Amino acid sequence: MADLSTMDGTGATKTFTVGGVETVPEFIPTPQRVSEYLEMDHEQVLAEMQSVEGRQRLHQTLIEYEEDLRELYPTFSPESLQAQLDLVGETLLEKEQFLRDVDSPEKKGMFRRVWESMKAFPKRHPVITSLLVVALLAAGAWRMGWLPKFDGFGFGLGEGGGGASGGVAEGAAEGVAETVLSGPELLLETAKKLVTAPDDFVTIDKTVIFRGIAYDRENLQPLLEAVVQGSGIDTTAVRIVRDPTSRFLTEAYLKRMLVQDIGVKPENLIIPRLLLGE
Amino acid sequence: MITVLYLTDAERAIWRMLSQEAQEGWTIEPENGNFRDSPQRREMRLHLLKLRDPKLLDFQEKAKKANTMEALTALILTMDLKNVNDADVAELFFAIGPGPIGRVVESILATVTKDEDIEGVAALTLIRRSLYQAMTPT
Repeated sequence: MADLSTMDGTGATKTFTVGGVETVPEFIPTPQRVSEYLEMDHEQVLAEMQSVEGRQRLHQTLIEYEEDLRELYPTFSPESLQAQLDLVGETLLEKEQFLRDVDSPEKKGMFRRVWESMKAFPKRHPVITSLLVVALLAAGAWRMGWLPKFDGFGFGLGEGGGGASGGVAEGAAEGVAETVLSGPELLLETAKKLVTAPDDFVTIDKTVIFRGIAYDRENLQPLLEAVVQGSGIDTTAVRIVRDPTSRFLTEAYLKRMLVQDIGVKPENLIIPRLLLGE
Repeated sequence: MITVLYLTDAERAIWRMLSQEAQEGWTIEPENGNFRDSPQRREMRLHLLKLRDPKLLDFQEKAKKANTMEALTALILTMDLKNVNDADVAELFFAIGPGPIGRVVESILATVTKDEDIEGVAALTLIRRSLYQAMTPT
């Protein structure tokens, strides 16, 4: 458990211990962190974050405290501060727009039904709850400084979050997971992948990674054909990732369909055992 | 009732494979959102997650105190969203972004048979559409 007793008045934690490992915090210029550090009004910081000029002013002010920031946050990088501030500002704008849209007078009623549907839906499709809960957990892991705790949990949320995409690229080349999971573990694993994985179709060199399919046998072939042809890639490696709600498909069946019926080269076929159940 | 589903090309291919009976009464509109997510953006959305619901905050506290992976897993699997306030659910969907929602849509769409399941998928596509609109520069 994280020891947060060293929390100082700036909202920073000098060091904390997680599972016996001492870690140092990263400086992420969120409005809360910046307002606490600079002792500025939170609303004023939020307003500054909304414009390029405002973010430049915040950058200039923060850089004046570079030495202090380096001491508090040994990983603090003045070179990347402006880009971080811009990312915070852009993300805040996107979030504001999304929340305003779903709460707008013309959509509020519809979205009330949407949210109710989402709260009831998971009874039959628990992956949705798992997905949201894992996001909740991941947010806590980052913001509260208990990220190291999750190393063994397989979030792949390493420094800068880059571990997720890197892992996919390596996985495509190596055939990744060898462990066979089932039941709740498979559900959780899927939720974690959904949170940390890049977009639906990721092209890495000549490899198409195709995720999240759950099809009956008779439905799989036309869909795969559409994906493979739609990708516009001649030499195609198809990586199948199954959802826990899907029906069982044997490895032999998938291979036969992809190689014989769709024309994927056998050497380019990647089917992690994790996703094949039996 | 929500009756419109905004589906991508691949999702429409799945939709057409459903029985005629299942497809009846629903309107399909194209989803052309092309927002490209990145690990940095995802991380930042999680950093900016702002929750107020006591149930979710309590869950985070309990998760922080869980000493083993087994305890943490058990905690996650027993969590539900019943009675969580709408604003926090919206915050969580913003944090995960449109990509994961699309993958859930794909996987569930292939197995739906009942109207209530299709309505759930329709709700997901509405959330995704709104996320795309917010995240795509105009």
